[in-house]
Amino acid sequence: MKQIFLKIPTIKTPMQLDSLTMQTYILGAIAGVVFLVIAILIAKAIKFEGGSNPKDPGKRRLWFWVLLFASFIAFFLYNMYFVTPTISPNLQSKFMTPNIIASSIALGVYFVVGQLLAFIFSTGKLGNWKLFSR
Amino acid sequence: MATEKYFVIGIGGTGMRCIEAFTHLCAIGMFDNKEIDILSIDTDTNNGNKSRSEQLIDTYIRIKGGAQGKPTANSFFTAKLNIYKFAPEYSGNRLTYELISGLNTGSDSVKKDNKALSDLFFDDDVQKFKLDHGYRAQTHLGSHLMYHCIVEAAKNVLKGGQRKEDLELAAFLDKIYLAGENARVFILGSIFGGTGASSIPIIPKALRDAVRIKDKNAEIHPSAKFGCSLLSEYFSFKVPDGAQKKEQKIIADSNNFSLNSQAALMFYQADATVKKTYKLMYHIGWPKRANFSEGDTATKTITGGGEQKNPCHISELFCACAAYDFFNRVEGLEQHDIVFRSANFQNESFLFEFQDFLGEDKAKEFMNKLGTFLAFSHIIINAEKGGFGQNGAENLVKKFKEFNIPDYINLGVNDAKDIDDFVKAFAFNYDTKGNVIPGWIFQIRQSVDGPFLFQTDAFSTNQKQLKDFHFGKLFTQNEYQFATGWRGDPYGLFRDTIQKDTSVKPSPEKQKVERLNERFLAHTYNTLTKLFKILSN
Repeated sequence: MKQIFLKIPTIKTPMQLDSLTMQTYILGAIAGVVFLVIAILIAKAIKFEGGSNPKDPGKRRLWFWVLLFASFIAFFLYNMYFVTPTISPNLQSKFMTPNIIASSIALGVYFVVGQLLAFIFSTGKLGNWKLFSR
Repeated sequence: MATEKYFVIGIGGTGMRCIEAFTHLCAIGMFDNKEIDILSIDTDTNNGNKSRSEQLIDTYIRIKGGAQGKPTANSFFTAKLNIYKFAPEYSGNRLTYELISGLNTGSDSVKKDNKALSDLFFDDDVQKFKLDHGYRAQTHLGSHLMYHCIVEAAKNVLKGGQRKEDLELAAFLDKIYLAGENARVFILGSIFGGTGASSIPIIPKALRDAVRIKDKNAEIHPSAKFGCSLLSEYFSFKVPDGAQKKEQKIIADSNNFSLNSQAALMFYQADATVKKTYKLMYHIGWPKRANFSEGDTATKTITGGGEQKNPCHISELFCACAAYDFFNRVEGLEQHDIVFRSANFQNESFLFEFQDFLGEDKAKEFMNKLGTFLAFSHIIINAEKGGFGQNGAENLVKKFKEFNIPDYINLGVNDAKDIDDFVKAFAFNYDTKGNVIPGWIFQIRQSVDGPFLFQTDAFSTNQKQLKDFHFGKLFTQNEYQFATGWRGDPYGLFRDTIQKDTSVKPSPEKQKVERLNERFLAHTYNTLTKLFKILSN
């Protein structure tokens, strides 16, 4: 943390960069799960509505998509502003692609696990996330 | 008890409202495994209360599947009801006593003798007023004419007459005759001066004589049991002014209700025939009168017809409870008795508890059934938007399909609409301006000062407050509430339970439900019963 605030680069060699890249990919997956947990909490908090045209399924779907893109954007910005400064300037440009890939992993994990949960709990609140339904 | 046959006769405007209360008691499921034949009698065929009650019963019968319906148990709408509608013909050349009696027919001497005899019993105005709005508190005339019209109906049917009302009365009489000694007949009506007061003393004899006229070898079994409500005055209405009295000549005056009740009670106490006929008479009263003309800007007293649509009152529910007691009683039917019940009364208002209605041993059952039906009403009308122009019952049925419970997806739209309509008549509805239209239970609540069985907010007359009402907190006792946590969602918990808990599925053995809509109602009843935990505590 102290290093981040002072922006003292800790990644100085290509080998260290490779190690950081792997960590970032794993963190990306974890970020996807964290955002998914937030999405689950929000979906559960939205109350069921009755009637012939209830609005609650649409609200849950909206939050699913908002958090989907938020997971990518948030993780990308986190890497850009908190991780990249820790890399030596001559190696920073090489971290851009891993950043994009890791953020995509966050989005992908969120989406795949989210759709899996939507099919498993298809008659519950999470079922409203389903992209494809019969 | 299993072979007992049950009959209810509702007479007059008050009798109609008592039948309405009785029907709602059946709808919440208090008459398991029973088939009940109901006869409505009113001289005022266009009476607003009469049409409201009969429409309600017609809706109930459709929900049960019409004539093919069967009694069920441990659910809503368990009793099978059959309705027979009778009204004397008071129109055209039968509009007045004078016309019916043929006082102006025959030779001069015959006419003179007949008039002299009539004048002994009835004033001239009484002989000439129009009967199409009822007997207008002329009970001496009413008793005579009511007996006459029942007996006449039997004669007409014997001669091959096809008047619908006469045929329905005849069909009802046949059922009482066939029931033999197992017949339990309960008569609902008031004693303070209307059609009910006229009819209560003479109905049993009129029915017996009518059966004998239809078939001289038939008779109502001497051991058939009769009971009745003695409902004394509980409301008043706008007193007719001098001009209206002069115009109408004969008109009911609510200032006389107390005197009429007193006279009737004294008569029942002393009359040997009444004592011999009625096993039990349930005396029901109310300490202060509701003003049924409050807020009415009309200058004239309403004498009857479609305009007479008085709000419901808790006294009528007690009359329905009296019928419940009479039908389920095993002891105390050997000899005539007049019974009553009292309730906690403090600071000028009653503090009713569930046990005050059907007794302590039935208190929890009544609490559960009334509460679950009221909660069901909130679900249909508020949660499923039945009160906002949609068919709430149909919306709830569609939810079952979303839950992958396909059992009810073939439930017809008409079936769902009948449930929707009944629930609104029971509880409440909203008009297009956002006002709450009180249904039966709301009107019952409004007739009571002070608290009434449930949370006060359950009966709010503010649309927003009522729409947001948390029906999981319907009961004041914490142990009977559910979904009480932060952001507690009773509708969500109801849906979750119906969807995931297999123990709330309808039980064909215990509930005897076969038809789709009855299985749907049983499923809903089981779910709410489980959530409120009244019967498991």
